[in-house]
Amino acid sequence: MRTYILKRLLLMVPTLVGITLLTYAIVRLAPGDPVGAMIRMQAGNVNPRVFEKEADRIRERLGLKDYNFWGEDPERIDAVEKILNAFYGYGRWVSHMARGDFGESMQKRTREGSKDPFDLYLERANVSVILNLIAEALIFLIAIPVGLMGARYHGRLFDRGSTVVLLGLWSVPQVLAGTLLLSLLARGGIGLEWFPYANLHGADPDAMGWGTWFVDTLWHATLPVACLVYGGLAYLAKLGRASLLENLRADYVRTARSKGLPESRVVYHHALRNSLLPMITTMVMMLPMLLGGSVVVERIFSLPGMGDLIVGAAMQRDLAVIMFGTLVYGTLTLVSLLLADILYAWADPRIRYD
Amino acid sequence: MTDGRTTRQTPQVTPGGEPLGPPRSYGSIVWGQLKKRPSAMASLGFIVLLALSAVLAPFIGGEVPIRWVEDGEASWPIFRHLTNGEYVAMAALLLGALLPITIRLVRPGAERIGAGPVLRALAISAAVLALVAGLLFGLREPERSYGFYLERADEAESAWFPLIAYPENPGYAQLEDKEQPPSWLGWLFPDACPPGSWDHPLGTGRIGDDIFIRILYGARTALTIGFVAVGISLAIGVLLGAVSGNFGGWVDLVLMRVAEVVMSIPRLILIIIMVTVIPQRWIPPIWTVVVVLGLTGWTGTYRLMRAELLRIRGEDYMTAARALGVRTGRLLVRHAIPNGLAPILVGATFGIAGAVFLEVTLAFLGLVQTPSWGMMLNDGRQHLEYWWVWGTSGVAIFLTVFAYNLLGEGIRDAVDPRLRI
Amino acid sequence: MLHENDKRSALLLAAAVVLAALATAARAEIPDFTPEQMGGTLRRCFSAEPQNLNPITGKDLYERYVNDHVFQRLLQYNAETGELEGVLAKDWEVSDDGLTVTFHLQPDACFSDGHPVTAEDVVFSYRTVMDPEIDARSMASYLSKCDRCEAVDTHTVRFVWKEKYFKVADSAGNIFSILPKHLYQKHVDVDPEKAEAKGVTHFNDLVQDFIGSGPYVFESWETGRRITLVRNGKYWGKPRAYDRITFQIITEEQASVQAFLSGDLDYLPITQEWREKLLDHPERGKAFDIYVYSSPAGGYSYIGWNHAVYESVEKPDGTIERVEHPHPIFSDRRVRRAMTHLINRRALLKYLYYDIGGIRTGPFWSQSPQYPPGCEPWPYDRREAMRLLAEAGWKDRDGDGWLENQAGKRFVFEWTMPSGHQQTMDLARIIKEEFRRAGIDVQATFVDWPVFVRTLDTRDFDAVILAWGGSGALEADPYQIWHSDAIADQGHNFISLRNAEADRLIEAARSEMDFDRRMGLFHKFHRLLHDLQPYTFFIERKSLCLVHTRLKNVKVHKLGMDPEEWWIPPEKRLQPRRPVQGKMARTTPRHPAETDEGGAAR
Repeated sequence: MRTYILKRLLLMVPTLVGITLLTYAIVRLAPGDPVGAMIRMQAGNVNPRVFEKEADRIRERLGLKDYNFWGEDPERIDAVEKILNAFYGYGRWVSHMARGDFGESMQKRTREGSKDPFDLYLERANVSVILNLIAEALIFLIAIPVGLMGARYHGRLFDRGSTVVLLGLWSVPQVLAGTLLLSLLARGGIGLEWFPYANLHGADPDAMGWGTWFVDTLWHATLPVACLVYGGLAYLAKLGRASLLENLRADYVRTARSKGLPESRVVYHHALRNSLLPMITTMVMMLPMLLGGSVVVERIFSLPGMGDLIVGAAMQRDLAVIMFGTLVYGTLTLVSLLLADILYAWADPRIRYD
Repeated sequence: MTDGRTTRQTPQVTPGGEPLGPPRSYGSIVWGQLKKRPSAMASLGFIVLLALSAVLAPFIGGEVPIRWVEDGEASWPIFRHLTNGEYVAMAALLLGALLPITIRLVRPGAERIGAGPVLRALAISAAVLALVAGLLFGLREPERSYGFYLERADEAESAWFPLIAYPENPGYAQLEDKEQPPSWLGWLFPDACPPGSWDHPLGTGRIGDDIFIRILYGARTALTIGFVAVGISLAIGVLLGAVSGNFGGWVDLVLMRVAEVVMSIPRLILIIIMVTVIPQRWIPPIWTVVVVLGLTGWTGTYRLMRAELLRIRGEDYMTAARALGVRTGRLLVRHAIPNGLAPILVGATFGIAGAVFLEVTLAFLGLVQTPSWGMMLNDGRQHLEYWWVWGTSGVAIFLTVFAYNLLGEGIRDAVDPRLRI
Repeated sequence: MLHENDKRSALLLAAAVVLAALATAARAEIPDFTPEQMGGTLRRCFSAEPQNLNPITGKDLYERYVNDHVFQRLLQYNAETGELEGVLAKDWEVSDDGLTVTFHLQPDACFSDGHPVTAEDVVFSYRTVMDPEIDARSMASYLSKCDRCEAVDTHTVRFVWKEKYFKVADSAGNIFSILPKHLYQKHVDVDPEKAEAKGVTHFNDLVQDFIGSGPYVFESWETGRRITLVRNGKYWGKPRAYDRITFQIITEEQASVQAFLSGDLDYLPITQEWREKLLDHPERGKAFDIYVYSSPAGGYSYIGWNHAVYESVEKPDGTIERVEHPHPIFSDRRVRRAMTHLINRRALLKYLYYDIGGIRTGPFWSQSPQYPPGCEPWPYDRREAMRLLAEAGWKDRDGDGWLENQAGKRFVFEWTMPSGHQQTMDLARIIKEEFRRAGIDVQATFVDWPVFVRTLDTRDFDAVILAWGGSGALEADPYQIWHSDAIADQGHNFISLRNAEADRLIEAARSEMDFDRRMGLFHKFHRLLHDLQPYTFFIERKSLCLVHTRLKNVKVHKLGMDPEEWWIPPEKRLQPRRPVQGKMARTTPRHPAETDEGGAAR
């Protein structure tokens, strides 16, 4: 087993390299000029004299400068040179990263003024992590009983009805769900006005006491969490139901029943434990979603989270931020895959990875 | 037995003792199961209805009349104005409807329909479609002048307008009608709303555009995105999966890693980067979206196909067939694909639902410019009190995705032998 | 919700490309506040974050709004009379030949760190703006005809111009803020390449914490949340009423209006659409007021028709030259006039812009003395448009529904627009359809703001939609936009208008120091452009804002509003906010008042 884990960890490296290299190449080689675009974004009108120098300075600082390897004209860079520059730039990124230097964001700054992508993500991490952790916990807690009951009363009205309802929930796009929640339940809408419209905090979070802050945050987080929960809930509940059903039909359950064990013990003690496994592994695989899965919710509710950050960076081709995000997301995905496989192996002694 | 088709000895009675009919193919079994599931059939019906209305949209809502009689002369303006693409879509629909007949033509008198005739019939239909498309696009240019039919409706002796006679794109005259709630509400709430009518059954938007018409034409975008994106990822996934499963070895190793890489890249980010990077002049963003969706969505199908191939590689009949010299391609087409088709199809329907979802997200981020349901939802979202704008598009998206999900579930259950009805 | 950058582009489109970012708002006469009236916090709001708060390199409106309180210039415009008056300059005189302006500085003027404002600071500021290494391009262009600036003595400074110019005092005194030399000299002098090594930030990279001479001082900038200014304890002039001014950053408009109605904001500029929604709000007139007013700063939007196409030709020595050819479609005056006749400005104003604003007929503001009386806008007239087009050679020659010229080429053009702005997209849809009905094929292309700016600079478009903001002044100088000199070097004459008569009028007016004669020339110029229609001049914009009723002395002057003349009564200050009752939808009943959102009292 240990060797297997080690082998998988080692194999993660080339995959990560593949992910990051592919992302880097696409962002770097794509047509267009993100640095120039950024300058123009900030300027209304650009004086050509200062513009090129300024742009060059910034490019060099960010590691985006294209060098000319051959040819007489230092300005002309052909396609092959561009590709080589991309490789060189990637290598540079890797070596810097090994030292802990993740580069610099083109446009964004943290509240303290740092441009380090690490700080940028960290600053927003608490929002994304809080929301997603609460959401995942809720999903898990709700999905189990719902799935359980569905399997228990299989074929009857509750089961059939809940299957359709769950499928319906799963079919609602987050944009619509968020809009519905806002319009019906939040201030400024057309229904009840129980919840605030935006943000994770009221106007002055620093001035509140701990208790008030906690309640205030929960109050603000209710609608966004609801928006995050309903989709995953549907998926996991159906999964749980299917898994439990399969277990309930299995031979060992028949044996347990024929041994005279009470039904509740059969279900809860035996079948449930086994059917929890696919649910847990699915939740583990949802780990990467902590990073980028909630961008819609973040935008609709004006929450400064990580998803919003990476999407914004993608739109402006802010290389450092994109690379850091991809690295984290890729690592999380691969780690979660490994964890899922390990969990399976640990839970089911029949599975052997050799 | 020598034509490669497997012949199994099937029991003549079911376990319950009822006599069985003639041996049926896998496909017809699945189809039979599907027919017995009302939710699956309902969703299939909905999808077919949606496709029909999308293709025939100009007949349902628009400003060009179907028939126009002026000065004793009758004409059919709508047929002149239909674009070549619309004609091709109509032809595709027709050929699809005629498919059962085509299959029987290809293999006359057969009780069992195997994979071969189906594929052959599909190939023939595709060829006919290509021919029609080529002729149309090469020889015909649709009429584009604005006929002012609506404005001149009085001058005609007889005019058959589409169900909702209103311009697809509003002009100055339509501005007056802006932001009206569904017009039939006027009958229910005579005090609060303008007088009731059927002019705008779903209301109008910010510039006087009729919502019903927008939903109608928006279906085209939704369906196109879904089908083309999933089509691309199906093609890639099936091909690569077959290659991987068949050849194994380091080919398999490399392809598996590639699949892992593609799976691990956040899809949304990739689409955003590609869309923002490729200028609108070169490729309209909608095609960029569709292609990237296709290029990143194949990993599921790939794994299924690969698993299927690995499974049947071990089967005896495969070894026998190969010993007899049957070519690999034929094996793939006759055995691997049909058997692996059901789970792949399930994945495909869920994929279409996912593609529609993604389009909504992209429209939300402002990256989409073709009018679509996602755009309507995003526009309407910012003005919550005009609930008919975001409400109708939201419901349309929901119903479509729900239908695809139901269908996918239905197919999955139909395939599962333990859930036989 | 619009993405942050789209919001900025929307604002840039809505207000100005360059010009408004340049001019300060006109200022009102500050009353003598009693001690009782002093105190409180004015809470304002931005819809996007400024890139930096550098008064010289800052380029967006937000920086301007903040620095209006922190920095001062030599002169400013009086909001009520429209005349120039001195701020840091006590008085000034223009020499007889019109080439020299001499300013006498206020003897007691000082920066917030106590240092007096001297002529050296003025000269330093001027040199900073003109420094090629400093990123102050648009300001510098206004001073291009200035020969030099020199200090005569500690409190007298002189600007010498190369040519006579009617705005000679304005250009010297109202273009750039005065910076303290003793603080910023070293940042300007350091070599940008070596700056990091020496540990001195280059001026271009200075972002916040600036020291100026204005009534408020920069206190903090919480990125993404809020910018705070506090009262300058050492302010040399009349104190203002508030102790603090805060600018909150709320990107979504719904959220900012919500915040205002909850009592979290005092002053909020809004769009026409929101005004429409809030007209029937129960608290209107009680808790807040809506102000709609016309000011030169409002500016106007327009559709620009490119008069030229540029071809890049490689010369024998390897360099690339851009050769200018007349545009195949829009170089013909009749075609442009037809375009204007095809755009129903009245209907669009009424339905798309909620009837707030006016129809612009030419380059000058309708209430400026530069505006020729009796100039009526071209009406929407499709028949006249088709007649003009036919005269120019555009007819449907083959019955396919599109217009073609004599060579058989179809009337198709590309209309480039900045993306992310809803009103623009709506406008484009309607005009595209109406043009289609007339037989013209419009390809509407939406691009990102940076790409759009690039398109303008390279003149790589057929038609664009854009807006100009006004200056704070009654009289505007058309040189920057309309003179043929402004075509080259990425100047603001995007559409490459080359008209000898226009040039002549501009030059004559610029050097005409007599007011009446100058107005006569401007009248002629306006009528000329009205005739030529180089743009289809579109909507002249009004400013709209919401102001909380707790603020007193809120007035609308001829040239706009000035928050610095308002004050907050003691009983209305710093209390836990009572949110405004009711909702925004008109058909549903009211709910009882909510408790406030959980911010503590300050």
